[in-house]
Amino acid sequence: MPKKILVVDDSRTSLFLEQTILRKGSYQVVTALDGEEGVRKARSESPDLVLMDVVMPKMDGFEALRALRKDPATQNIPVIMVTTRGEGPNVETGFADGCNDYVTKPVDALELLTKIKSCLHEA
Amino acid sequence: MKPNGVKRDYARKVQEGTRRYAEHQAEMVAKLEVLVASLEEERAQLDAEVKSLRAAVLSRESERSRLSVKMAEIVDENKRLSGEYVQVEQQRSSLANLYAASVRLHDSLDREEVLTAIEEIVISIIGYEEQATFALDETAGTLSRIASFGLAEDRLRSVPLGSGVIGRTAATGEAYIRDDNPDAAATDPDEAGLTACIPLKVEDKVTGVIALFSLLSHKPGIEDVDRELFELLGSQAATALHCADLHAEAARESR
Repeated sequence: MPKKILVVDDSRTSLFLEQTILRKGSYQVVTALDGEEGVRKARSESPDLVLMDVVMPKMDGFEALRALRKDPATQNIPVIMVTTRGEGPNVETGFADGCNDYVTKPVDALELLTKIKSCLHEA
Repeated sequence: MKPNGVKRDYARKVQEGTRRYAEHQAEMVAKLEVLVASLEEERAQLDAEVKSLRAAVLSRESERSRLSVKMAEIVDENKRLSGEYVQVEQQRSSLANLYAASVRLHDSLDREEVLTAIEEIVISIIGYEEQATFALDETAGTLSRIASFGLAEDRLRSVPLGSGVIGRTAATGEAYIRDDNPDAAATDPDEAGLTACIPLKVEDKVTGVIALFSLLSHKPGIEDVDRELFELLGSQAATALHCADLHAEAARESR
């Protein structure tokens, strides 16, 4: 059974690119266009991992991450933040809020798949 | 003086004793000879075993040397294959980027959606944090800013054709990349930070320009795949915008 990954990003281009990469990695992909929808789908779809963009309308990635960590149904789902800022406050905030790892845009396919495998404890 | 009978008895006893001693000696010698033969046989066997073990050790050492050489070859081959794998994955990543950009540019006939796609490609796939898209008005001889992000509202709202790097890119149809043209760097304060300028062309005719300013801070520089994306934007973004305009015109005419 392929692992399911929820990709949360308001950029359709990023969503399309990440879906393309993840499908090559044989993952099943579910998408959401903002943080609110992301939290809803995390509860309904029970993904094995969430890829969360940071800057999004309605609810940003950090707020969505905090919501996931508060809910017993989603608190243990690994979350990888996807950010255009690879250093400093963005990364610190992510880890403080409970993310498992982060990748920077532009996303490197090999790096993304390696980090996903690591979070999912795959060989 | 001992009587003769006693002497004879004594001599017989000595003779008997000597005879028995000689027999005993002969027995001992025989036993020793058997023992020596046995020991020599054992020694011969041990010699043979030692010889055999020495041969086995030599054979193992030779095998170990052969395996060490083989292992070194495998390690080298592994390094080479790892390098090739990384290259192939990078190429695959580049192709995925080009594919995603191409699909996004053409998945809508709405002009605003196309402009959004250009913006998203520039931010998420190439890695810029400031960008502006200009449309060329040939009659007025100016480039008008039709979309941007990261730039101040009043910056570069309109650029005369041929003026500055942006105007020259539109006039010549030649892309500008600062790293390739350090001598032709922008001098106009409004163009400060300009790192690349891509002419939008439909059938070799310039219809606009995409100006790219600051790279994302963690991106070290423009890579080969970025240059391919510049080319893609130059042709396909222009075509997508042109199609969107035609679609809008057709929709207006059909009303």
